[in-house]
Amino acid sequence: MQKTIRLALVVAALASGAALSVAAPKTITLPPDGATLRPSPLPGYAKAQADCVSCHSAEYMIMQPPNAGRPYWEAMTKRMKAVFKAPFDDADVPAIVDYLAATYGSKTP
Amino acid sequence: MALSPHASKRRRLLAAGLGAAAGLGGVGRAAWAQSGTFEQPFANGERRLAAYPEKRPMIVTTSRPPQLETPFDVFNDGIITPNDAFFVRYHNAGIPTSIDADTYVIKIGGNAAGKPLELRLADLKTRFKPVEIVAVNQCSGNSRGFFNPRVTGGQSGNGTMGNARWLGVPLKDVLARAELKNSAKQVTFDGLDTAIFGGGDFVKALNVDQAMNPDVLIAWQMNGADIPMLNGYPVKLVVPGYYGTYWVKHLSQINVIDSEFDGFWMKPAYRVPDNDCVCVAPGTAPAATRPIGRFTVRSFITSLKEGQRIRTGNSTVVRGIAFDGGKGIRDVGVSIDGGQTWKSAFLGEDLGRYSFREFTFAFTPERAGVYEVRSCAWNRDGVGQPTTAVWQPSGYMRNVIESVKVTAV
Repeated sequence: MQKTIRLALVVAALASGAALSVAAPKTITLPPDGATLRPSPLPGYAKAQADCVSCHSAEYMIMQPPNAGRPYWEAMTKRMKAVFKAPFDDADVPAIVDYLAATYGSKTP
Repeated sequence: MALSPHASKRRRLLAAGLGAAAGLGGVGRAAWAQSGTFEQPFANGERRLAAYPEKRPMIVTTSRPPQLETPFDVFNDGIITPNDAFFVRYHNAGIPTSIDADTYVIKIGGNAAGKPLELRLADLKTRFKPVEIVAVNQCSGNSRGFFNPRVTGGQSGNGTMGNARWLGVPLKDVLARAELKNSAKQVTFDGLDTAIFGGGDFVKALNVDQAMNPDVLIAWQMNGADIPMLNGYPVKLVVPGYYGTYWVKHLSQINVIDSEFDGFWMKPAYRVPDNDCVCVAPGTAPAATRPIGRFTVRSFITSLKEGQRIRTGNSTVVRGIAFDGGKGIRDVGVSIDGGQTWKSAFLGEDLGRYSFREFTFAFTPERAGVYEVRSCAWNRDGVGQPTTAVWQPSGYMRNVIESVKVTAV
C-alpha cells in the first residue's frame, strides 16, 4: 500500500515536470568584442569610441557596404540620440559623422 | 543527417580554414573557435567565426549585441537546424545573461485585457495543452548583403534562417484566459532584453487576428531541448511563416491593446513597401509602407558550392531546401542550364507547411564545362520565385532564384 502511494507520488512528480524541479539559474558569459574602430587623427575617433562603442560593438559600422554615404552616418548618429537616448551632446554629432563618413563611408558623396 | 558528429565537426573546422589544427589533437575549443575567419561573397564581407555560449563557431555579424549567422554548410546536414548552429539576432545590447526558470513570470495585461494575469513557466507547461510545430525562423534581412545596389543595415549572407521543432502552447489559449475585450486591436510582445539607455526597447505587435492564429506559440523547447539562451530562453514567441522580427525572445510581457502600437521596431523599423511586389525601383523610397509579414518563397541548393569541380559522366545527387510563408511547398523546379530548361525535383519528407522541405535530383554532367544550377520553388498557392531580384530600401524579403556555377571536368 505504502509502495503504491510512493509510486503515485513519483508519477505525479514526473507528470508535473519542471514545476517541482529545482534548477539553478541558467547563466552565460558573453565573449569580448572581436573588432575595434579604425584609428584616425580625426577628433571624432575618440568621440565614437566613447559615444558609440560604449553601447554596441564596432562591427555595426565596419560591416556597412562601400556605398554607405554621409547621409547614412548622419541619420544613424542622430537616431542613436533620438530613438535610443544615447547620452552624448548634440555638439558631438558633426565630429562623429565626419569620422564615420571618412572611415567607413562611400568615397563618392 | 548521414554525417557522424565527428565528421560534421571536422567539416566545420575545414570550413573555418582550420583543417590542420583539427589533426593536431588537444587544440582547445576556445583556441580555434576564436581564430577563424570567413569571407561573405560580397564587398566588405570579411567576418570572424566565434563560438558564443551554447553555440558552435558561427559567423559573427556583430559581437555586441550578438548577431550570429549560421555557416551555410549546416543546411546540407539535415532539414532541422541544430540549436548550437541556429542564428542569433538581438537589437539592443541589454541582453539577459542569467535567468531563473523557476521564478520566471510572463505578465499578460494591457488596456484591452479584461482579466490581466501572470503565468509562471510551470503554469504555462501544466495548465495548457502543449503542441509541437516544425517551423522556419528567418531574419527579415536574411541575404541583405546580396542586394544590388547595396543597402545599409546588418550585412547578412544567406544564413540568418533555421528550421526547428518548437514545443509550446498556443498563444490564443493564453490570451483566452485574459478575456479580450471587444476593443482589442493588437497584441504587443516584450522580452527581458532591454535598451541600455531606455529608448528603443524591442517590442513587437501583431494584429489580434494574427495573434489568435492557432499556430502561434509561446514555446519553451527547441528541437527537444531548452531554447538556448541566445535564442530566447526560457520562452520565445513562435510565429510560423512570419519573419523572425516577431519571434520575441525571453518573452515576459504581453499586452492586449485597443490601438495600433507604434513603437520604433514597428514604425519606422521593419516596414516594407505597401504594394503588390513589395518592392520599389532601386534607390527610391516607397510611397507607403506596412509592417513586414510572411516569408516569400525561397529555395537553396545546399550540396553544391560556387566554383566546385565535379566529374563529367558521374551522377551526383544534388540536394537543397525550400520553404515559404506557410502554404507549404508544392514543387521545386531545377535547372542545370542557367534556367533555360527545368524539371521537377524529388521532394523529401513533409514536416509540415512551415518547415524546410528537402528536394533532391540526380545530376549527370554529360560534357565537361560550366553548369549553372538553379532551383525555383512553388508553394501550394502557385507562387514561385522571381528570376531577377526585387529591391526595397531596407533589404528585406530577398527571394530571387539562386544559382550556383559548377565545373564538370
